[in-house]
Amino acid sequence: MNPAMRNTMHSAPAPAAPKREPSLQAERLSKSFLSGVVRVQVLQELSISIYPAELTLISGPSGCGKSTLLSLLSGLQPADSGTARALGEDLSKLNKRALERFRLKHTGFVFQGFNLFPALTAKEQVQLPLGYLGFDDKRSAARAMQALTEVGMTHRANAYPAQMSGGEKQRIAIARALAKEPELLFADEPTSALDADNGQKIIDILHGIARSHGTTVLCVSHDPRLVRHADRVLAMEDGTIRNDWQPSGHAPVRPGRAALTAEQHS
Amino acid sequence: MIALARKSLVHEWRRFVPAVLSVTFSGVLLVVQAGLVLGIFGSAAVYVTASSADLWTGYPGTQSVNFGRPIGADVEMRLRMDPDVTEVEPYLWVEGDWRGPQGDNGALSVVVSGVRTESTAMMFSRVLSASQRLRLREPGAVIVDIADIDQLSSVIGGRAWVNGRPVHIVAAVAGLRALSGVNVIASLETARSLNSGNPAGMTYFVARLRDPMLADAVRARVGAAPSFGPFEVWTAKSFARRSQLYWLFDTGAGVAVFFMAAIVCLVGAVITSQSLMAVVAGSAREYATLNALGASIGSIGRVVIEQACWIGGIGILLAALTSAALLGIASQQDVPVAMNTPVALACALIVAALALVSGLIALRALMRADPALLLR
Repeated sequence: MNPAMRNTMHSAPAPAAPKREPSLQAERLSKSFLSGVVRVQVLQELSISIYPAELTLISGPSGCGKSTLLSLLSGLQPADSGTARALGEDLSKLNKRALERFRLKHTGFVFQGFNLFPALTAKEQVQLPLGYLGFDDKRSAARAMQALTEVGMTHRANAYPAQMSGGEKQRIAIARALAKEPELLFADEPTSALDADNGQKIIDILHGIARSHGTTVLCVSHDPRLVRHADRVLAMEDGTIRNDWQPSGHAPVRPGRAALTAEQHS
Repeated sequence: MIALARKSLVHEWRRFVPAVLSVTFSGVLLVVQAGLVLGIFGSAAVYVTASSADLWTGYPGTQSVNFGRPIGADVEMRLRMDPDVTEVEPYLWVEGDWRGPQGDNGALSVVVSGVRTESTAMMFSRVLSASQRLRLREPGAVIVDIADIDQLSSVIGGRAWVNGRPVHIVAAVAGLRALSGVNVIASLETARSLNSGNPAGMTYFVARLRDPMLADAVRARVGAAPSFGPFEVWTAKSFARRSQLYWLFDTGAGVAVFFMAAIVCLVGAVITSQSLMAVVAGSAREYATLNALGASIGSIGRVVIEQACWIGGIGILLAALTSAALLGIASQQDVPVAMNTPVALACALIVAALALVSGLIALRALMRADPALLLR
């Protein structure tokens, strides 16, 4: 076992550190899917807390339930049982329209497929969601340029997706998610379709967002290259969290996690 | 707000071509069908519409101009008594059998219209020139439609027989073709000679008024005179409409026409909506991402509806241009077609509704835009 992991898992909470409220909370979350005639239990009474200003990475093999956990915590899907809280809000209490409003105000998404509209320039891609927030064109253009600056893509502001590389497209997708200045940023396999260099850039950007904006960045990936860049790694298997640890080189941002993890595994 | 619908249409126009084409074809089919209906059924009233009379007087209850029966000569007096009537002329309708010069082709049913030959005459004034009308003064002289010449097995200047009496074609004109039969124009005298053995008396008396705007008032006034025998008065407009509507609705032809129009709309809506659904489904992942970012399905649906409206608009424009060209060609080839503004607008409205309904049906494809499906 990684020494850092072992150390985190078994160390006692440091009483001197300030305690922060979690921005995402799963309480005994369960979710199953029907596959043909067989019901597959994807998540089994999973409990976890995720904190702001951190890049939390959920890793694990395919089918372990990591994307399902992300979809429940982001309000894209309802849980079968248990509670998913985001920014203190019980997502199960919100109807479809209220969930859309919640996502519009508070969450950003980055997917493996970049899902950019072929007809829009980079700047317009970023402006588009801002329009739904009620921004006028001038304000949304300024905010879009700000977001493009943050991902280092201002020089490609007028380029169409067909003229961009995969890495550039993903940076535009991040700028689109970032422009709303969300408290919660969800990324699903953001580097899987990218080469090492671009993957590195993307994870650096996501990490930077967590640190500079205090955003909760929850990233799902089975890309081992990401592990050392994360503030916290949740290793999932068979619908539960097997390990909760901090990679070496990252000082513990918040105490008490080991206790929570131990509780979850007990 | 970024104009996603419009930008997508411009940038990815190839994906929208099938939808635009299906709207265009639906529009062309509707307009051409309407043009043919107006042309064919409009021709039922060619006797009225090709003439410049303001009032028509005929046998009471006549459903269509081709069902005229003889009326008393007193009716002419009643019309002339009205101070607003400036001119009255008789119109004789004679049904006959036409035999060409060969004589072995069997008889063809024709309608002989007996009209006055003075240059100021009202009957067929929009079709006949003064000189053509003058030539009708020759006994046995007739004028036919140029498109009917072959059917009549004759040529201009050729001879033939109607009801066993000799006639000769002195001219051929355009615009006489009618749903009710082959039209032959003759002078009143010639027509009367071809009508021997049938009840005497004119079929209609038509009148010109001091002011055409007075038609309704004069019609009411003249019509309220039972002592002049059985007759009924119609304004030219209402008599033409009455004749057209009879052919359209009372013969069952109208039902067939509307059935065809409904099929065109149904097929158009199915093809357009399928094409639109394919476009929407092609962008499902992008729409799903937008929904994940908080844009409501309703607001994304508006993008689809806006696209449907653009497709409808472009389709209507293309259909209008294509239909105009087709109707123009048809008209040049003597195919009975006609079009007017209300019918053209009605067709445009139906096509617009078709595009909108297709857009609404295509919204179903947005159900595939579930953001949860974007997660791997």
